[in-house]
Amino acid sequence: MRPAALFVRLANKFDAEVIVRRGREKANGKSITSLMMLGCERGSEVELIAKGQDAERAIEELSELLNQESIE
Amino acid sequence: MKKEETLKGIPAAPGITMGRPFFLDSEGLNIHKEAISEEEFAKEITRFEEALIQTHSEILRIQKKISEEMGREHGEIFSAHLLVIEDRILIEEVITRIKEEKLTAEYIFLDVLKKYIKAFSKIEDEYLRERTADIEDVGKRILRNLMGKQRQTLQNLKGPVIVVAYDLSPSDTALMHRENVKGFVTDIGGRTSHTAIMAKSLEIPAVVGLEVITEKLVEDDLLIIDGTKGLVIINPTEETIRRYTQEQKRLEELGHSLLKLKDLPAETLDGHRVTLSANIEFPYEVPSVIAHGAEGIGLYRTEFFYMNRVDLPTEEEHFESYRKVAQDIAPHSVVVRTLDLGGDKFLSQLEVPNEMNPFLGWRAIRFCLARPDIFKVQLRAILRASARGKLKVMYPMISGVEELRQANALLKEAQEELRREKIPFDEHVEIGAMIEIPSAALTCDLLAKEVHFFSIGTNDLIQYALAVDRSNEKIAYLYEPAHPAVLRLVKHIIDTAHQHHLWVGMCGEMAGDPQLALILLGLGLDGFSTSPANIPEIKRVIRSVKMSEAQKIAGEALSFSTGTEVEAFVEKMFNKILRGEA
Repeated sequence: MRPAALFVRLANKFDAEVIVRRGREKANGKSITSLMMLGCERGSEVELIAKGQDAERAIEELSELLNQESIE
Repeated sequence: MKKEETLKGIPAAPGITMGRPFFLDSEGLNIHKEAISEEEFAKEITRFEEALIQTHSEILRIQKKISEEMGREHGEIFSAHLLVIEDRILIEEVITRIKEEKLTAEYIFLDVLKKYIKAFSKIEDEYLRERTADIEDVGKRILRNLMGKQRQTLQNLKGPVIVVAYDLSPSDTALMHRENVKGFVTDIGGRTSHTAIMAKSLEIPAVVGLEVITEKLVEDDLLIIDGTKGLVIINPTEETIRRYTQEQKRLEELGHSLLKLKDLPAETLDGHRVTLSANIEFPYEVPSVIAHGAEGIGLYRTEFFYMNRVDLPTEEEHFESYRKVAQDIAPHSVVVRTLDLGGDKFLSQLEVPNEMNPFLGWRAIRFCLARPDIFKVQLRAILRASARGKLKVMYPMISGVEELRQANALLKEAQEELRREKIPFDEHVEIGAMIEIPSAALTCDLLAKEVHFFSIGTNDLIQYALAVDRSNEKIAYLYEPAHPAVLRLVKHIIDTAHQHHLWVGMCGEMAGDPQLALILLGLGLDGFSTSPANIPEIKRVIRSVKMSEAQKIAGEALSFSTGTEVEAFVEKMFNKILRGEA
């Protein structure tokens, strides 16, 4: 499946709010349209922010996904 | 009385059919701005939510159907569709605006949709930009449900029709009522587009790339599709209808008599035997290959693994498909052509730069040798599958001995790895080279020492030898398979291969041409590989001549000065032998 779709699917499993930041722009990690608006290409660097009860676990699992999804 | 008009497009699937047009998605998205009263907005929001739920289950249904019929990887395409429907940001934006602006759900939703589509179309990354189509597709579905209008579907057709569309999506074709769809015509698309592949595997005549067909036609037009030549005749005259009805009948009778040849060998009247095999792209094509009486698969294209996705296919994915194809086609063999991307094909996940001259650029074996990490995944999978069925490896776009040696060295590395890991594979996997570059054709005596067989790839060989880009309409007339230069190259390759005791086949479109088959047979070609639908006809040609006759025809064909003369001659011989004309 496509990385963006995988990401959104996983993000929705957590209660915590998930925010993806790229440079100055921010997107809701639980929304595919919002995430696509960031226009992240492969290899671009993003910052993950999570707020809420399971925030720590969300960051852990989501960054693992992002790292294994890169080919290089 | 309407005037007859003929449009020429790209032949996508052969055959002739006649019927009325059925326009798919002709309503477009044209919604007026409409105000609602203060009390109505809650109802609008409920309508919108209901439309989302309805669309959600619609897509789940399609996904399930496609996964069952075409494999899980095709079904996955719809996962992104589902996420759009579940997207809270998008949904909340629509709901808030309905409340604030007091306009209909249709209008607001379309407006929001347009905003996103516009924003996405500015994204620089080509792959991401193309994903806009997912959002458009879902958006249209939601709108249709919102408007209470059942999509004019291919599912509940009342009678036979010819489907006319700008393009057909996988979801359109998956739910199609097969008995009532007699043909496809589309504005865009090429020979390898989804529509073309579907039409071929369903054996429905189709013409794509007609550019203006959706604008040209009206409801009550009558159409004839000639999928073999790529023609669409609009409002044909009585005379044209009569001619085509006859041709259609002849083709049908031919089809029936040809299928009777299914279990007979591809052998000339004087007992010369050749291998007649099929070209495929997907594992699900194998039953059709068997039904048409092919002896194995002479070309298994593997580009599909890499297309329409962002990650790379795993060794397991490759292995599963190769294993399945090899086991299904047993006791015959499968020739797996390694990745042939570049040129006209699109590899989304790798940053392949745009090139001025993609057909002369970084593609196929050149790309694979530069990226052994990607190449070896495929080689290992082919080797592993070779323990389960008869597989052969074939490298595309070889231009000289060095590339062949490098590719073989990587294959050897893959073999050693497997040995170390104690994973079984066939130690005697045969290796072949595609001969499709003039430099390879002229040095095939040298290449012969490095491989077990050759396969002549005529589509590229012709394009490179004649310097003709066949997708360029202005010079398409120069693309001549019967050009003396092409025939001489083919003869040289076959003769040289035989001097070195190598088997030599052909897997380009030329191998599926029944008239040219006479020449190729006479030149001594050992194997013909073509799309399943062409197999019976080629078999009939082979079974209708003596090898000595074919050799005479080939000899004479080589004596002409132009491709046109060769074609005229071979057509005459074909009619004489196959149709008993004087």
